[in-house]
Amino acid sequence: MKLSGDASVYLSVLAIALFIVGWSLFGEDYSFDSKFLPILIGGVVVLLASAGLWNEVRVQKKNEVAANMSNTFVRESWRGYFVHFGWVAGFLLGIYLIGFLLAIPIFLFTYSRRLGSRFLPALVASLTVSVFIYGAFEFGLDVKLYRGLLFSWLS
Amino acid sequence: MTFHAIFDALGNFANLQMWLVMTAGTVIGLVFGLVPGISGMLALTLMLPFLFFMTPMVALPLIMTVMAIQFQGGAVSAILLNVPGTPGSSATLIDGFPMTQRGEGGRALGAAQTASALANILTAFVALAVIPLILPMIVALRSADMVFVILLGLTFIGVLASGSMIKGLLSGGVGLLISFIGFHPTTGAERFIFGYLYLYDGIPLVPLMLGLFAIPEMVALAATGGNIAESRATINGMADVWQGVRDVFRHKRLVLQSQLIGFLVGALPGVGASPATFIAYGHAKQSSKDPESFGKGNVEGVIAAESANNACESGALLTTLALGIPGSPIMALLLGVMTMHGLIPGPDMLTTNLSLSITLIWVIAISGVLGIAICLPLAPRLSRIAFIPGSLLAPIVLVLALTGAFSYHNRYEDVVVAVIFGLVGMVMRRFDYNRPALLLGFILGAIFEKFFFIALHADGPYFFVRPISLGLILAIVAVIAIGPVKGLMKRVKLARGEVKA
Repeated sequence: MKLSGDASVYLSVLAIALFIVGWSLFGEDYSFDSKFLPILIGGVVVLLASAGLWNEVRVQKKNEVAANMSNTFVRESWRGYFVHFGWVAGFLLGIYLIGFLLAIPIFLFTYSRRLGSRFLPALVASLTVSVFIYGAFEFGLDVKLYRGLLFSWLS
Repeated sequence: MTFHAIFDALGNFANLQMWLVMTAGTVIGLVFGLVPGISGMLALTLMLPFLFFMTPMVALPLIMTVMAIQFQGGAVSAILLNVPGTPGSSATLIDGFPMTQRGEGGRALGAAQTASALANILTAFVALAVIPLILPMIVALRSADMVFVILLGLTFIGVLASGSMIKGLLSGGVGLLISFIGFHPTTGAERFIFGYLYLYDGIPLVPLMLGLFAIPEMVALAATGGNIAESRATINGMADVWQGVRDVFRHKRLVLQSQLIGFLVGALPGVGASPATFIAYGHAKQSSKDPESFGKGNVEGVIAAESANNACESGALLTTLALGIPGSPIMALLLGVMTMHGLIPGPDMLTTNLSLSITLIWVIAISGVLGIAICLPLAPRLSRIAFIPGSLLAPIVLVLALTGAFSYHNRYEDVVVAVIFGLVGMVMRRFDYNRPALLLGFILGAIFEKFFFIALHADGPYFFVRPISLGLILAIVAVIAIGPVKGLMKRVKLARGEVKA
C-alpha cells in the first residue's frame, strides 16, 4: 500500500518528535529542567501524529481506489509547486555565489519572464525593484547586503 | 489607573510622527487589502524587517493601523472586482458585487467604508470600557494559570482555526518544539544545536515568519498562474457613495448587532474575521424584512459583513493584549512583533504597558476615520492596484522576503532558515496544517517554559490544583471535546433516523 501525502507528513512529524524525545532522554546530559518540556511536548506530538497516521491509514484502506486517484492528483499539483520552489532555492544559491546586488535583478527578470511577463515590463520591474531594495536596505536601514562568495574571493 | 492611562495614551497622538505613521499604515493597509494575493498577514510579514528597526511606539501603531484598515481595502476589491482582497471580505462580495453589476458600486462602497469606520470607532470604545472590568481577573492570574492560559490559546487556535483538530494541535505542538532549540536561559543547557553556533540563540523569529507565510503564498500564486482580478468596474459618482453612507445610518440596529457579533467572535482566541462576517451576514438575512434579496445586491448584507469584520479586530486585540493569546491568526504576528521588541505578551500589557495597549486601541478608532477619509475619494483609482499581474508580484515579494530575512541580523544563514521554513510552510499549506498555530507555539514557547518552571518550583508538582487553573483545564478539555462530541451526536441522530445522511 502506497502512503498518501497526508500520511507521509504525519510520518515525518512522528519521526522528528521521536528523535526529539529520544535525544532529550539519551543524547545529551541535560538537567531535568532542560529536558522535561521537550519530552512532554514531544510525547504529545508523537501521540497526535500517531493518531493522525492511524486515522489516515484506516481511511486510505477503506478507499484504496479513491486514494490512488487523489495520489495522482497530489503528484501532479506538487510538481508545479516544487518547480517554483526550485526557483526560490536557485535564488538562495545565487545570493550565496554572486550576492544580493546581482542575484536580485537576475532573479527578478528571469523568473518574471518564466511566469509570463513580457520583456519590457519584466526589465523595468527588475531594475526598479533592485534600485529600491539597494536604496532602502543599504542607505535607509544601513544594512550591508551580502556580496556573495565570488566577490569576496575576488576582493 | 485605567482612566489615567486612557488620557496618557491620548497624549501620544499629540505628535506629528504618530499621525504620519498612521497615515502610512492606512495607505499600506488599503493597498495590501486591495491586492487579493497579498493578505494582511503577508503584508505584515513583509513589513517585519522594517519594523525591527523602529521603536515599539512606532512599529506597533503602524501594524495596528494596517490590521485595522486591511478590510476597508479588501471591501473595495470585493465590491468592484468580485475578488475578496482579504479572507474577511468574502461575505462582502455576496451582495457587494451584484450591487456593482446593477450600477450601484458607489453606494455599496460608501456603505462598506462607513460601516467599517463606525465599527473601528465604536468597538474601540467598547474595548476601552472592558479593560477596567477584566483587569482584576488578569492581575489575579499566577504563573500556574498562565501555563494553562497559553495551552488554552494554542488549543483554541489549533482547533477552531483548522479544518482538522489533530493537524491544528500538531501545528501548535511543533511550534513549541521548535522554540526549545537553542540556549536554555535558566539552566544554560544547549538544546538541539548539535554544535552549530548559529542555533545558540534559537531559530530567529523574522526569517521563520517570512518563510512560513510569504514564500508558500507566492509559490502557490506562481504555480496557479494568471492575474488575480480580471473584471473591471467603475462607480458612477460621489452621490452614489453618499447614498451608501446614509444607508448605514438608516440601519443603526443592524450595525450595532453586527458589531457586537464581530467583537465577541473576535475576542474568541484564534477564530478570526471570516466566521464573524458570515455569522453577522446570516443574522442580517434572518432579521431582514426582505431576505430574498440577499445575494442579489442587498445593502444590508454589505453593512453587516463590514461591521463584523472590522469589529473583530478590537475584540481580537483585547484578547491578544490581555492574555497573550491571539484573537485572530493575524494577531499572532502582532505577538511576534511585540516579542521582537522585548515586550512580553500577556498580563504585563495591561499592567506595566497599559498606556501602550490603550494607544493601540485608540489607533483602531482613529484609523477608522483616516481610512474613510483616504479610501472614499481614492478607492476607484486604488482598485487598479488589484490588476498587478501575478507574474510580477510573486518574484518581487520573494525578493523582498529573502532580503528582509537577511536584514534581520545580517546573516546569510537567516536567508537559509527562511527558505527552509518556506518549504515547511508550503507543506503545511498544501496539507491544510495551521501555520498561525505553529507561529504561536514558537512565540509562546519560551514564556510557556518560564511560567511552567516558576509554577513547578513555587507550588510543586500539583501546581495545577488551583481554581483558575482547574477552570482553564476544563476549558481546554471542552474545546478539544467539541468536535468529537458533535460527531458522536450526529452519528446517534443518524442511527435514530432523525437527520438525513
